Amino acid sequence: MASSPDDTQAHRSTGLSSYVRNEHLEYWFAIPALLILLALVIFPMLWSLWTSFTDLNLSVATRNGAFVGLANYADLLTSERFWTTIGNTAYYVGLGVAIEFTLGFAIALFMANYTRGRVTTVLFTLLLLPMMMAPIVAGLIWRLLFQESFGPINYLLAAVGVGQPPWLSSTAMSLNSVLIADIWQWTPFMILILYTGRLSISEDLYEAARIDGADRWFTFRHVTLPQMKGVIAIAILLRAMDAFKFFDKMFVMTGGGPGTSSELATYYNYLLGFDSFSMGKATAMSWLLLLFAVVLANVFLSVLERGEGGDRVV
Amino acid sequence: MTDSHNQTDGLSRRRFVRGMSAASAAAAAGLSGCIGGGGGGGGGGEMSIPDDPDSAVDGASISLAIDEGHNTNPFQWFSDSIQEDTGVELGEINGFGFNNLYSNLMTEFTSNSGAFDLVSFYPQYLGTFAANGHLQPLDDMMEIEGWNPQFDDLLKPYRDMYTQWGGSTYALPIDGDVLMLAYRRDLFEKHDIEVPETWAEFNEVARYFTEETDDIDHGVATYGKRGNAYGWFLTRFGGLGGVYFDEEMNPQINTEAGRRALESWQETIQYSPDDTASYGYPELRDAFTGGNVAMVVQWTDVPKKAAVSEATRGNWGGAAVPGWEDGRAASSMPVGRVLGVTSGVSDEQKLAAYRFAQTFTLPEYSTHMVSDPGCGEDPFRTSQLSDPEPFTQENPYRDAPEESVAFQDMESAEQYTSAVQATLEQGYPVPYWPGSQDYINALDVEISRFVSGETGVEETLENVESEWESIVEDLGREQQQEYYSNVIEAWQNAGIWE
Repeated sequence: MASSPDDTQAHRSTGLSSYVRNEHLEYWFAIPALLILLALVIFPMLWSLWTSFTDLNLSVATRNGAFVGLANYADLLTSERFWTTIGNTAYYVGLGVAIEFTLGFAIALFMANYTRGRVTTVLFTLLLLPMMMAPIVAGLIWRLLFQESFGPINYLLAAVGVGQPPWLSSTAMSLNSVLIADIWQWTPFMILILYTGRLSISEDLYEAARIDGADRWFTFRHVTLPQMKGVIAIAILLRAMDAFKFFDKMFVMTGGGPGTSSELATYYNYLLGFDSFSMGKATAMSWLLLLFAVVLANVFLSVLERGEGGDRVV
Repeated sequence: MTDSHNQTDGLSRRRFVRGMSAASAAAAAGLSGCIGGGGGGGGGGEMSIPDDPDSAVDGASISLAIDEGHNTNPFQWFSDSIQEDTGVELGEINGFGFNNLYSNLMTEFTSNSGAFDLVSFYPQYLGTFAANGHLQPLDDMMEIEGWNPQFDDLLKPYRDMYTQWGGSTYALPIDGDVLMLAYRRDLFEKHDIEVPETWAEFNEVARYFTEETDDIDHGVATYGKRGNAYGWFLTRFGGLGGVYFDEEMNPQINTEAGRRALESWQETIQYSPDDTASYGYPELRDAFTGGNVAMVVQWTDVPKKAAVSEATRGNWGGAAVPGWEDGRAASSMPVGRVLGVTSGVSDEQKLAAYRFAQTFTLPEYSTHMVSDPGCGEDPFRTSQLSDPEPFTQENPYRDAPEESVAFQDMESAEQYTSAVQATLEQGYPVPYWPGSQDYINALDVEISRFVSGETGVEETLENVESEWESIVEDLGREQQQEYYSNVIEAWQNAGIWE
């Protein structure tokens, strides 16, 4: 049966238009992305959660993935090595980020207040060089610098009669040596973020403070800091998250040693998964680390939000 | 002992679970590396041998995985010639870090990537790889006419221990590593000092050179870095009759043998450089070949390096590692290298990989490799020790053959081969059953802490014992018992276990 053009138009209008106007259409458009997300992120994560409750060990055929309940979590939480690596990570992230932030903030403020034009450009180029370097290369360089018998640092120290510290072979110093390398590499990141944060503050506020007779410390506390709160939070959070995941420089500089003195939680997690191939324990540790990270990040943000006026910082 | 190498190539539940778990562990941990899911396990089952295998492999190209560094050199030296002989081209050489070879290979095997046809690995992984079906049994291919790897010429420990699992042959040796003593002959002669035969004498010589002469910085240096430090402990522990476990799989590390081994080593550390805890293979090698220490216990390639180093050329000596007052001694056998054919590739690739490996290990090639200081591979064939002459000759496969002569005279070559022979006779095997990597890692971490001075003798032994107990429970006592007793049998057959 033939249909008139008007009929066809009406049909199109009713079918397609109503379909296009369908209030649920956006969900259909989101489906491909959701499927990809499900396949690449959600499903592996759920699978890893399930694996964390099993005894799966890829190097032993009899450890086939039988359900063991919370045994892996219990083993980890009662393991001395687990807590040693958590302690090392807390020390590394806490002290490292604190020093990087302090140094970075000081240098950023100095540059914002006292340098201009080409000087700033040259300083930035120099300061950003370490950040451009692959962490593994930075680790190798610092390993050579810290070499105790023939490394240049100990050569200079010996020349001025300070002695030759056992940078990498002492359990007391190895993690600090890795920390020094990390501070060298990542302080520029803090400088970059905080410098741009400082430049975004309106000069009117500083002018008003000057007119009111505020001294530098007062201006810093009541103008600079509050205005930069959001930037500071983001800088610290990004660095802390990055430091929490870190292990490449440690891997090449100390390999976690001597003993477990510089072993970080992520490296121990890696060893459980890809050296022992104890997938049950490795995935359990991954979830514990994720839990720690989420809790710490939320605590950090809520502490910051409790500041002046309780404004949201991010 | 049961093997899983007869499973088929289908996507079994276990293989799916293993592949997914490797991938999800990486995802959850946010770790680097793309680990494909869905595979895993490998087959390692039956393969068909064509009527004319030589033609079947002609023109094939294979990929190799190996620890990066000087040990890859022989593959480059010989590949063209082997291609002319067999028609098999060595394509890509994939190098991995010395201490993370296991991680990389297992990850590839588990994800069934099929990325490598031929793998070079340390024999301590043989049990895990073979029992999980990641390697192809070689016995059928070894039967092919003209493809015999000449096992009757292999030194017994390497033949019986480095190649077999569950009654099948899974690997061909290419590197006969064992620890030996390297010392400064010139300084020993100058001070009229005998080569130490006991650990007490060893410590006394170390003390003498450290404290009483200015001829050299230190009497000794020792391996301390995580990775292989355990081997230096086992060398003393084994000489005291120490064993890993009893028949019930109870750890036997926290015993008189363990205590005496560590006490003796503690004394050695006093006379070592302050940073000896950070010494791995290159640092320890360079400490000796650079002329900084009077003696080291090291792998058997180090005398070859010393013979061509400016500081030690003509001044080095080699001997078996010392023993104890009752005459018992042991030389730990960590590392070493074997070639295995992966099970997760096509039959054609398996054949080609085996053909390349078999030719590579023949004396025609391998003798030029073990006698060349340009690599780390050491003698593993009887003929390589019975005839020291190649150690004084050029390696014709090198672009610069003049750089390949290890020893300038037959006397040095003979001293080297006889020292290797002597040290091998007291070889002490390292664990290589499935799961043994966990025991080694636990021991290694504690030994590293000990060398750095973080823990004392008692604490170290107690920690290792407790870790090993826990690993046995984790992996399943009965299964581990079965593996261990079978391995002991192999060691006894090799004549390196009482």
